[in-house]
Amino acid sequence: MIKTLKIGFSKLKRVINQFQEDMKSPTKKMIFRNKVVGIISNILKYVLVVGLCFVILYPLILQLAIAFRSPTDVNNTSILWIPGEFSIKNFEVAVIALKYFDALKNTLILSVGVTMLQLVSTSLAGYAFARLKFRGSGILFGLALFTIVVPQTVISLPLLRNLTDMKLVGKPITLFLMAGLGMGIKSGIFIYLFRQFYRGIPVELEEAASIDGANPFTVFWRIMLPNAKGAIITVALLAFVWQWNDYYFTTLFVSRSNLDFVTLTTQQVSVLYGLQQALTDAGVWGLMGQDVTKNPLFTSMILNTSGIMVMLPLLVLYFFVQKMFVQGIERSGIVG
Amino acid sequence: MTKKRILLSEAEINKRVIKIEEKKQKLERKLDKYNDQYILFSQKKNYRRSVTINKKRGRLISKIQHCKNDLEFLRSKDVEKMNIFKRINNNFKRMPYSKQKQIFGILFVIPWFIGFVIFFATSLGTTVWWSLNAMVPKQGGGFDYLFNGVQNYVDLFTKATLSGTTVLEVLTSSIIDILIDLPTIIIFSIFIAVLLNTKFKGHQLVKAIFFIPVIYNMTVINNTMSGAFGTLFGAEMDAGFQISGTFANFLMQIGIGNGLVEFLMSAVDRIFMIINKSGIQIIMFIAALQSIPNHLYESAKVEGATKYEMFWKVTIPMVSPMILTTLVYTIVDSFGSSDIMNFLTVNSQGTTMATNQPGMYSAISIVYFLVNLLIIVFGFLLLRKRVFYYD
Repeated sequence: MIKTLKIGFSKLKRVINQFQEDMKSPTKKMIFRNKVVGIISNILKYVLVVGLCFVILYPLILQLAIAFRSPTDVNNTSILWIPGEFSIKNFEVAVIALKYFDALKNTLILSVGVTMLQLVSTSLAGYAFARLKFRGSGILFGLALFTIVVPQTVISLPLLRNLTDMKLVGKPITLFLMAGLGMGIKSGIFIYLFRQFYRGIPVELEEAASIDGANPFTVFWRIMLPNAKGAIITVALLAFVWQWNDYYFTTLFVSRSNLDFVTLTTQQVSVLYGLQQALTDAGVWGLMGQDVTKNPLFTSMILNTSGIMVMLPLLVLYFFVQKMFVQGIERSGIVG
Repeated sequence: MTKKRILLSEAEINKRVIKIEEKKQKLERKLDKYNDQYILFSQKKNYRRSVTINKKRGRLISKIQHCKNDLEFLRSKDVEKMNIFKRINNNFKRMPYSKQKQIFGILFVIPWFIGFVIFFATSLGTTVWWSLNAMVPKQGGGFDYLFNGVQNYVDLFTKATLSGTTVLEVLTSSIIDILIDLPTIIIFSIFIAVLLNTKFKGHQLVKAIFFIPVIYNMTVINNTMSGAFGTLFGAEMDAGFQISGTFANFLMQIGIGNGLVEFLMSAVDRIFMIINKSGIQIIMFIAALQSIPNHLYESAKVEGATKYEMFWKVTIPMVSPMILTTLVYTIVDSFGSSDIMNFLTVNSQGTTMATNQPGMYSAISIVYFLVNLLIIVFGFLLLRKRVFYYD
């Protein structure tokens, strides 16, 4: 025992001696200092990153913790983060209150269609503004930037009246039309992103193709688009997410005058009104008593659960495309 | 007869046939003349001239034969008839490439431009026009327009209130909010982008987590955080993090200014909001960082620059154009969620202002937009001289 300690001590002494020897040479000192600074900054970095990740994930964790809580445990203060018994009663109530599958179908159709149309219209316009200059294209691009700056609320009321005159209100085709004509949700930003991206592709590529006899459309289709994968993925994901989470446009132009057309977000807002019926259908009345909807904790719980059900498909989708998305951003080469 | 098949429309074929026939008739008249002359000269026994004329006659005859061949060919089935699209395509191919580009540019922009005119320009014009009118609801729907100049704007700042607050108060509080948030969001997102751009263990996962706020539905998240359960959990969390309170007390005691401590504490409180608002900005900055050519860093390293110097002298100038872009985006985005929206929302409940006083509504939204624009122009002027364009 003492022997091993002694050996260990002598080893330590040797190491310290070696270290003192090393410190005498300035280069080794420098290297050592850099190493220490590197390790400390790394630790700081990890602490910061983990902390921020927690802040980001906190609402999700919160939602999950609330969603799996059993309705019988609503007033149980001894349970906080981990549910006493895992129950999917909340989900059952939320599915009925949200008219979930109907709303999901509508939302999916809307989001996919709008994303496609926005991609087509904005990538064409972005390419034209980047490379196919004609007289007045600078002014038009200025107008496209202007559409970003003008908030939607400024034009929404007259737009609603115009659309009513055109008999387009209450039909989902309105949203498709707006997306296809480059006036969907934040289309201006997409045009700007595409333009910046196409400007980054070398002109020589285009020239080589045109010398080989390609017309501008072929150049766009065969050369620019395949190179624009990063920008396309970024824009597609943003367009999809923004349409999915959009409440303002969908309510204003479709759902307000066509109550049959429900999407997840519009249902989410009116979930409280449908709560009574949903509770009877899910058979939770018996557990809770009649005045359960007056319990703010319970309504909060159902609101939460419906919220997580609205976001769940997006989260699943994000889980699958996130690698592509991250890489797409890194290789997109979008320059201010 | 071996001739290439040519592509022509019917009208063009007819035109050509007529042209060739005219030419043929002309040539035949000339031939008749030569024939007469030839007979004349041969009777006079002027052989030299008759020989030259004979030569000319021969040439003419061969020309006429050519015309005849052409006509025969045009009338035969070897000529492929061409429809209008093929003709346009044919003409297009003969254009110079720069002109082709212009035409395609116009074609590509047209869908956007139609949408711009139908959905945007007319609506904006209508809003401006409404804001200059007192609009009195008519019986049975519709409005009477009474032009009253800037009266709506005057009323806006003197009369209009929403749950006790005047427009001016809401506007100033919104502006102050933005002026605080703006630098915080931009600095924070540059910082995070630089952090995420370095390679460390697990950076893929961290990146994936940092982009999650982009897909968050903010109304849902806010519901969760401010709902009954959210506050319950929040209180529990605060109890767990008493250390931050202790730290603040410590800072106060060692004499660091009260204002700074408060600012830090409020920044910590708002960290969640800031992170969630800066998702897109982080994306933009990462893209900008990726596009910085590596040789700049290499040459800086050769010159003996430290990492700190490289950040200020290489990274910041290279991403400065993107700062301008994110500035505009942040202002537009944060104004959309500011308190002034309470005046403007047209939700399923429908505010009275939108339905009863469209004039006033338009005036508010115009003021709102102008303030927006003012801040953007201000930020633009502030940053314009500092922005560095590499190319």
